[in-house]
Parts: sequence; structure tokens; C-alpha cells
Amino acid sequence: MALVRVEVKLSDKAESIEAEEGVSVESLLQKLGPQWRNNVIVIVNGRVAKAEDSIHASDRIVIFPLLAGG
Amino acid sequence: MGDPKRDLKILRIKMSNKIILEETVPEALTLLGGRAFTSHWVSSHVDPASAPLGRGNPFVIAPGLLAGVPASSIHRLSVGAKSPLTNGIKESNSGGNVAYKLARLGIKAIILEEIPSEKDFEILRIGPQGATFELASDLLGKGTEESAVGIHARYGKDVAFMVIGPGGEKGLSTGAIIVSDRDGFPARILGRGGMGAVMASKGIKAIVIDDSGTKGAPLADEGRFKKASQNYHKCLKETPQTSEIYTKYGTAAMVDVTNELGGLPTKNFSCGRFVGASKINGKTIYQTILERGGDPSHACMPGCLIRSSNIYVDKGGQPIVRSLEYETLVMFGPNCGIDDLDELAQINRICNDIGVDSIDLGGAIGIAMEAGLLPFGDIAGVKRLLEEVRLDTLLGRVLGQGGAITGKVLGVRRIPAVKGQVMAAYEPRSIKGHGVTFATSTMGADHTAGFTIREGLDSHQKERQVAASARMQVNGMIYDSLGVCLFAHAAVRNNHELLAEMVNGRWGTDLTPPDLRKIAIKALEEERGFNRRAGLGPSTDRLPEIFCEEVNPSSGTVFDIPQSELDELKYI
Repeated sequence: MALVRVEVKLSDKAESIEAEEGVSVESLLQKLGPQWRNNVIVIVNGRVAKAEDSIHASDRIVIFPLLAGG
Repeated sequence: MGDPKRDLKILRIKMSNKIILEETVPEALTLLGGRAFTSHWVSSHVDPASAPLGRGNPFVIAPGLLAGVPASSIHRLSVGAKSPLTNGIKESNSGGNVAYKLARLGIKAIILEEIPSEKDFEILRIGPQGATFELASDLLGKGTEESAVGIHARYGKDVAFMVIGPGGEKGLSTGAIIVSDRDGFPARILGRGGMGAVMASKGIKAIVIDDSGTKGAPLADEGRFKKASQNYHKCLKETPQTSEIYTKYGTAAMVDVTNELGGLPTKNFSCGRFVGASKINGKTIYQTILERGGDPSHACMPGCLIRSSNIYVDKGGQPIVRSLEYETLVMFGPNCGIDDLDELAQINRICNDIGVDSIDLGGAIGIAMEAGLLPFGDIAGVKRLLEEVRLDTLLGRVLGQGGAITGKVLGVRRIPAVKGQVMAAYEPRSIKGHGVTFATSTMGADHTAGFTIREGLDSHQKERQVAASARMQVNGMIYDSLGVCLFAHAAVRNNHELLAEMVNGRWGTDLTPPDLRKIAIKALEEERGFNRRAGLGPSTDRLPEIFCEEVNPSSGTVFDIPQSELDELKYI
């Protein structure tokens, strides 16, 4: 099964993770630490993804912390 | 257990004759702080038809309801008036140490009324013994940096201050007020809506706060406050955003997020992705500051655990600006086609020294670039234009009136402004919730008035964005009124129980989260009512037409939320 590379821009420590082709965003979030599970924004191909969306090998996926202002 | 509300006072100062009245706080106003106070005062005391820089427009200063007592990120300061930029109601708020010291002096609000009979600028000094005036002749025309040195030389290193620069003195609609930070440096900005020009119209160059000898702000129920603040602090410490992300990368952490969404305003909001984004993002700033020996994690107000501010230094380790943050970085960076951090820090410093809103000026210069006055990416040209603003040339005055006026003068169609105020650094076609806030906020195009990205919606879709904005506009009012830094929202979220309990410990009340929302909604409705009476009807609650027609090439989207939905926005 193809693997999907996911950029995780949450801290200095974790840079990327791999996930299986077709996995849901919700499952992807389980790979993150518990402090992040309801605390991130998952952007797939430039758009905010929903928990039930599935991801594919050709997707660009980046996970950011949810920020409160700038 | 005492009642701290009884000892509060409002200073009302008639600038026409310098009569200072110390008034007790009416019961109905005791639980209004910060923005809720300033907006209530303006909406109930100001003729909406009054001239923003005239005698009928008071300048209202109010610390947040929680300011002054020992807890993190709760000492924000609000100022309010009718805005010369939007011609509507305006509140602008900042961190720093002024609200903290005002609260320790038991001051609920300062209200400068009428205008002076002579046009001499003065310094208003407020201390435990009351308020006095001193001539500010030696500071006149000086930038805020030199003014701050003069203030400390005259009043000592421990005072807090608010000061205007040439931008405010000349009555520019982008005139800002610079506020001292925890260390007494001129570093925090009451930037939006021309509040520096309103302060100048009262003949005031600086307000100096001296709380020496005070015992601190009292707590009605110390045990209750301590318990609530411990829970709040635990929340801040356990949330990665408030214990790590903001602390390391500051607000510039947002650059990567908005760029990825196609929402990073680039070249006068013509698109939403910038090739040089990685050169100016939070990580690059953090590493640059660390390598050079600056401070990437600085607290702007006493006791702050988040420490999202920074001291950006040059290659020799000398400070350039306190602090280099997202909005200025983007409005003069991608929006003007510039990706050089050191130059952006210098530009930021110049704006602060002149005392102008870097969001509106960045917007104005981006518009000037689109008009062909200078090319995108022209750093020397940007500095030359800012010098024109400082020198008060004709072109400088046009730019200093903000992006909306600049766009009209230069004949540019793409003017990223609502109610005369330039949009903050979020592209509304790809971050549509922010577009709703820009359109419908009582403040004009202001991001903090209703920050929707945290809601986790697909920002390219129009569905549910109006409700998200409405919810976050209420949330923004709660934070602005309590004086709580919006960044704490990453930890507290909409758990207003924590905040309500801190209020109850501070003031001896029994407020619930619904009470906080009720106060906030009333304040928002007062603001909207003022704007309607001032002539800012529903037709002004719109984004510029071009954002509804021209596709953002970075996201493939336009702002397509129907006007009828904007008109139906209800605070919830």
C-alpha cells in the first residue's frame, strides 16, 4: 500500500509522519500526541480538511497548530 | 472581603479649561471594562454626527476588567472614540504596562473631553496624588523613541506611558499611540483607527502613569481568584500554543498557515501565496533572533507566561524593533513584495517611531505600488515614502490618511479596505470567515474583532462562516473587555467559566459565562447602533466589490457570501 507523507509543523521535534493511502484525517490525527488531537488544522491541497476526508498519495498535507490570532 | 468596586474612580478632564473631575463609578458601569466601557461611553455620550477631531468627541481610556492583579496575559488597555479613519465607533487595544498601573491606581477610566483653547501639546501625568499637566514643548515633533527617552529622563525609569509621534500630532487618520512595555520601552501599539490623532486633538503628547507607592489592585475574594487563576495558568502551561508555539515563534507562526491556505496577502492583495514566505516565517525569525543574541520570547506585560513578543536584533546584536509581528511583517512583506527580515524590522521601527498604524500604512504603500508609484519589492522606496509621512509632505499626508484615501487619490480599483480601514493580513477570498468579520465588524476591517481560523471550518467554503464570525465577534468582545490577550484563547477556548471565575474573585461578583456573553452582546449592539446613527448602514457592511468578482489565483475562490447573509448576522 502506498504511503502518504504528511508535513507536521507543530514544533521543532516532529517534521513529518507517514500514513497509509486512503486513511481518514481523523485516523491521521490519532498519530499525533494527545495534546494536539483537537488542537490542529489539517490543510490538504490548500484547504482545511474535515475529519472524515481521506488522504491520498498525491495530496499535499500540512498540519499546523490552531492559533488564536496574529 | 471588601468591595474593590467602591474605591474605583473615573477621571474626567475638560481639555478646554483643564478642570479635572474625579468621579465615582456608577453601579451600571462597574462590570464594564476595556472595550465594553469605551464603547458604552462613546455610544451613550457622543453625538454620532460629531467631528472625530472636534470638541464633541471624547477620548476614552479604560483598562480591562481583570487588569492589575497577578495573573498572566490579562493587562490589556483599551482606548475608544469616534474614529477619524472609519467615521464610526472605534476601540483599539494593546498590551504593555499602562493598564496594569492604571488598575493599581484604582482608575476605571480616563476621559478627555472637549479640546484645548490653545494648541500647545502637554503631558498628562497621573499618579497616586492625582493628575497634573506639564508642557511638552521639548518633545514636540519628536519620534516616539526620542520622546520615550525624554519621558524617562523627566519622570524616572519606572513609569508607564502612552505617547504619540508626528503621525498623531499631524492629525493623520492612521496616527497611532505607542504604549510602554513591561520594561518601559515604547513597544506596544494602539494602532488602528487613528486614535493617535484623537489623542492629539486633545493637545496631549503623552500620558504618563506613575504607580509608585501603591499597594496593588485589591481582590474581593483572594481565595476564589487564586483558585481560578491557578486553573487558568495550568491551562496556559498545558496547551502547546501558549507554552511553546507563541513563545518561540510569536505571531509570525501564522505566516505558514495563511500561506498554505492561499490567504497570505501578497502584492496588494492580488494573490494569497508568497514565494518568500519561508524567509519571514516564525521559525526563521526565531532562529535569526537566537543566533544574534536577541530575545525571541519576551513578555510585553507583567507576569505573562505566553511571551509571544520578541526583541528583534541586527547582526551586531543591537535591538531593531520590539516586536516584529505578523501583521506588520505581512503588510510590508508579502503585501509589498518584500522578503528581507532585517529591512522589515527597520520599516516596522520607522512606523512605530512616526507613530502610525503599520497595517494601514502597509496597505497604503501596497496600493501605491500597484498604482506604479514604485515597484513591488522596492525597499528604499518604502522607506522614502515613510519619510514623506514623517515630514508631512503632501504625498505623505495622503498615505498617512490610510489605504482607502490613497487608493482613491491614485485611482486604484483594488482597495483592500472596509469602512475606510485597511484589512489586516488575511486574504478574505480564501479565509472567508475573516472576510465576514472584515465586512461586518463595527470596527472596519479588523482581524481581532472576530478571529475565525480557530473554528476549523474549510475557510474556502462559504457555509457556516457568518455564524463563526458572529460567535468570534462576541468572543473578541469578551476578551477585549476583560483585558485578556487573545492568544490565551488558544488555551482557554470558549471555556468562559475560567474567565468568569477570575472576574468573580477580583470583583466579588457571581457572573456566569452567559453573563459575560450577555455583556459582550450588549456592547456590540451599542457599537452597531452608534455606527448606524453615524451613517454607517448595512451598505457599509460589505467587502469591496473586486473581492467578490476577481478570483484569488492562490485558492481559486472569490468572496461569495451573499449580502443578505451578512445583513442577517446576529451576535450569538
